[in-house]
Amino acid sequence: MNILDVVDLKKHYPIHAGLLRREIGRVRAVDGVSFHIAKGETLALVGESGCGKTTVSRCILRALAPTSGSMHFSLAEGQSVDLAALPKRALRPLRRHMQMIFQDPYSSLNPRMMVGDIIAEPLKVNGVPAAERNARVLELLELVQMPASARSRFPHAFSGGQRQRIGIARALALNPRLIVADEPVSALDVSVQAQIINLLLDLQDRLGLSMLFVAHDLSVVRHVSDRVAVMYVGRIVEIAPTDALYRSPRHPYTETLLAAVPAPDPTLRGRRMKATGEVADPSRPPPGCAFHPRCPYAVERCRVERPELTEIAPGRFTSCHRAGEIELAGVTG
Amino acid sequence: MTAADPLASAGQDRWAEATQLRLTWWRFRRHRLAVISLVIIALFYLIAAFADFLSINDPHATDARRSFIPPQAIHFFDENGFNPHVYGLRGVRDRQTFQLVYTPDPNRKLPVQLFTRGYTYNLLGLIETDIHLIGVTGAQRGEGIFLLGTDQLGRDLFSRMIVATRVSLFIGLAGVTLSLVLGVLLGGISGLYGGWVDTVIQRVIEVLRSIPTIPLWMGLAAALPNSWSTLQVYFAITIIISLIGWTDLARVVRGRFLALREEDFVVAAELAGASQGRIIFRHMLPSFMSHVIAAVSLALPAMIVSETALSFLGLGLRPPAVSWGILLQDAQNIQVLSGAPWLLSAAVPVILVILAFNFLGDGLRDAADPYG
Amino acid sequence: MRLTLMADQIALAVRDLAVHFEMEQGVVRALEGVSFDLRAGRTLGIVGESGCGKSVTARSILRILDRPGRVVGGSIVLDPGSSGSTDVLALDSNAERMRAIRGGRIGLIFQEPMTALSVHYTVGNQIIEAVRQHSDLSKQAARDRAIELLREVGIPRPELRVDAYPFQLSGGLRQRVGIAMALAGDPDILIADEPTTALDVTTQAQVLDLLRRLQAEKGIALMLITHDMGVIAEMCDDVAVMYLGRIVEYAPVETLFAAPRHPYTRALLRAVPTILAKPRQRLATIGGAVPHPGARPVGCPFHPRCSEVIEGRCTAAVPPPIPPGQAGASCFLEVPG
Repeated sequence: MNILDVVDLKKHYPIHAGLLRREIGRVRAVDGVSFHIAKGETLALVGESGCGKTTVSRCILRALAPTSGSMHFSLAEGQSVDLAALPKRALRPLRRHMQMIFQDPYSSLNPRMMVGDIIAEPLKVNGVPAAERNARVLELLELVQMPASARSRFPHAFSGGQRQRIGIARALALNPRLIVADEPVSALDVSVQAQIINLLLDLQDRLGLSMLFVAHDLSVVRHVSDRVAVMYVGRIVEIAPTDALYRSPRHPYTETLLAAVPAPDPTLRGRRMKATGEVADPSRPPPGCAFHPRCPYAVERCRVERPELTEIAPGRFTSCHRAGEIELAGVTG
Repeated sequence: MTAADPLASAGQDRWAEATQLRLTWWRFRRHRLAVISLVIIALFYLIAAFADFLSINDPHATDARRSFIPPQAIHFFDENGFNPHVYGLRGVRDRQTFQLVYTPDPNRKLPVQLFTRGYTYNLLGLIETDIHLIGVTGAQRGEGIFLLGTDQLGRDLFSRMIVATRVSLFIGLAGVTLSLVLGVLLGGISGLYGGWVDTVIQRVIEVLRSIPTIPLWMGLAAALPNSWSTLQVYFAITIIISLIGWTDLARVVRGRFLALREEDFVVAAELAGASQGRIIFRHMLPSFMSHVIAAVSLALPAMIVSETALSFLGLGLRPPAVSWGILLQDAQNIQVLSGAPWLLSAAVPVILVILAFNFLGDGLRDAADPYG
Repeated sequence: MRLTLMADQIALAVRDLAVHFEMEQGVVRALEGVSFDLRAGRTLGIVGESGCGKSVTARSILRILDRPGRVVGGSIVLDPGSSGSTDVLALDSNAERMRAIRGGRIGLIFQEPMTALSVHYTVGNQIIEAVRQHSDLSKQAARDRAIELLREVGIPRPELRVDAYPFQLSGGLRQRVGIAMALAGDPDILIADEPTTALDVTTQAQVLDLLRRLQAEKGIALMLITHDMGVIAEMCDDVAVMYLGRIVEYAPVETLFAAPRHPYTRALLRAVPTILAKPRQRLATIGGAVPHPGARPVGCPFHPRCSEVIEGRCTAAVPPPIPPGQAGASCFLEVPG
């Protein structure tokens, strides 16, 4: 069963100019994105800054209103709602089923509230009685491996990693059906990052979480995700099970990304990245395949015809005209 | 897998469980200049509250025979040991300027005493009394303690300055309170709703700020009917001053609202399903109250200076009301000033209070937001 | 004269550098006796987590330490052993000599180049100014040099970009401009403080390539500060691992990754997420978090988090520092006793 089915999601920002605020163009931040998240699965959304991954996550949480497309969210077996079609008011009772883990462990906790109140807030606004709340807060603190004494302390008493645990506890408070994690470890020190990655893995195992994991760090993604969707200039260029994607990418951009990550091993030095140039501007994406100006495999067709995301093997989707012809290098351990 | 490291020691506990308010206070305490300023301001307000008790002579009593008496000193000792006294005065007409020049007469000692009787007033507006902190006994007409000298009409400058403190400081408070209400309300609406409401409010602020203040005040002050009592003028001036003052506060409030709306913890509350009211009152307002307090403490001196400037120009309060501006008005004439430079001493409390408020505001701001 | 420098010659020697921050809560010992050499044509990587003192080290060398930071001991010697050797710490931080060294002998590349560039002037103006500060070229010659520098750092169409304002450039191009700025005075030592942390991976790879190429061409002594073990593995010849203001391990890069000697290095390497991971692979972790530099533990600063702590030894005394120029670890496991 799928927790979330996103079909052809678009988020465009009009560019206005002149006295009459005429629309002269659009930033296609997200331009037709489709994917699903199965129950108990972690899907990673990766890409470089400006690719639209954060916009997708904000649309799913309806912190942003999508321009078009549908996002069917399953509330129970055989019952689902289209998040894209609901007015904002009707969303409030649904909020409890989708929670978010934030990137910045400092700004995501209200410095004026005690940790116990922060974790209890989702419970409180959803009408959970006080006695039950207290028990649940203790349970959650234990789940994220924090001492119970943390309840009566303020966020400033905790390190970045501990704050991130508190943020995770808050996100888990209502047993949401879906968790959106937006770069949850990228602001942390290496040694703390490892703790949080392990915690997320533990929670996935224990609670069977369904998660959308938004990240730019391909190393972290390889540890925590079941499947990966790679985005480039507002579109998904490849979706595949994690191991398959890393071992044998089927889109040249995925290959480029993987080759660019410096491996923590000096004997592997000098895997040369093939792509040159810079990420395209989403307000003026190149015609045809948006990656063609940087792609070492581009042919004439890539410059004129936009490739669609197609299934080339069971569970593997790529949007490359030459997917069947070219041999791409992955990374293997 | 390791649990979070256990936080030990009592000192750390105290810190960990301290509210933001307490942390702010701890940070503020380290700001020495701001703490001193806070004390100075508190003293000034105490003086204002007990102005009549502290003043020596009736600030409104004129006496042609004692005009332009220079400041007198209190002598604490004489040949008999501790015996606080001031000398009596002997007026001599200057042969060249034909002005009376007062010289102390060491042979006439007026003993200075505590809790003497003087003019009648209401202490804190409640108790009618005529007790004053200090005074002299056995003075003849035209004699007394004139610590800062007298003006042309023979009024005691020290007493007038003390009484002026009341008007000048409270006009600031009243003006800021009014500005605060307007600023928080309009700034809050502007920042919260955005869209055309925001645009309209912002344009109004810009228009208000673009009007040169002095001509605006002149116009408004000129419109005040002559028949109004001192009290009515007092209120009118307060309103005029705060009409301009609220714009700054509105901008601070709007800016904070806009910044906080994007703050992750506010988004988190929204995603938890919290109502708009809860988000505003539980999350947003407490986060910027400290900024508002800091802004207020920076707005207060501006109010005080405005009143001083208005009254100095003769547009604000009118005699017989006494404010620092009115006192300085007497020092406008260069000829008067050359003969009686002590009239300028009314500028000293203005400078002191303004500086103190500014340091206090800086200290509060740093304490409230150590990273901003 | 600089051309005659032999490869591997020591360009800069830092010895026992100690920096204190005098805060109201007490003295924070940001650096405690840091020693290392920068050699011509080689890259020294400085790696560590937040608060380890890696940026303070860079700032001390350039004498641009912010108050209340103060160098309280040690020496930083340019060209040690030669007749023209200079102790940077003996110079007034504002003196002409120091300004000539800063930018002229030692270039600095920032994490976010926007902080080093003014938004009010074109890229060209700023590079020209930097060029002229360290040479007596005419305005036109300096402009040509600026264009040449931009070309050298791989900026396409440099004759046009020279007149661009920094905000008109992408992050990657800005960092290239930042590097061009650092090269304007033709330095033989480059300090790069997290030069790619703010960049995307593909841009990072390009910038690292550029740094490597420039270093090889010019025989620059490069000091690369980063928290990323991948960048270290990719770029460095030697590595200094820092923890709470001390170098805890110093080794050639292959040795460090193959046979780390300090428990912190070992733990750090195991904790790094890797692109080569198996699905759902858990990481080894280091317990707790880096303590605040103001709350430095007694004894070996790492001992509360160390899995191989020797009670009574690590808790009582600080292990001896690594002799400069030698590989080793500052750890009691290394010292028989």
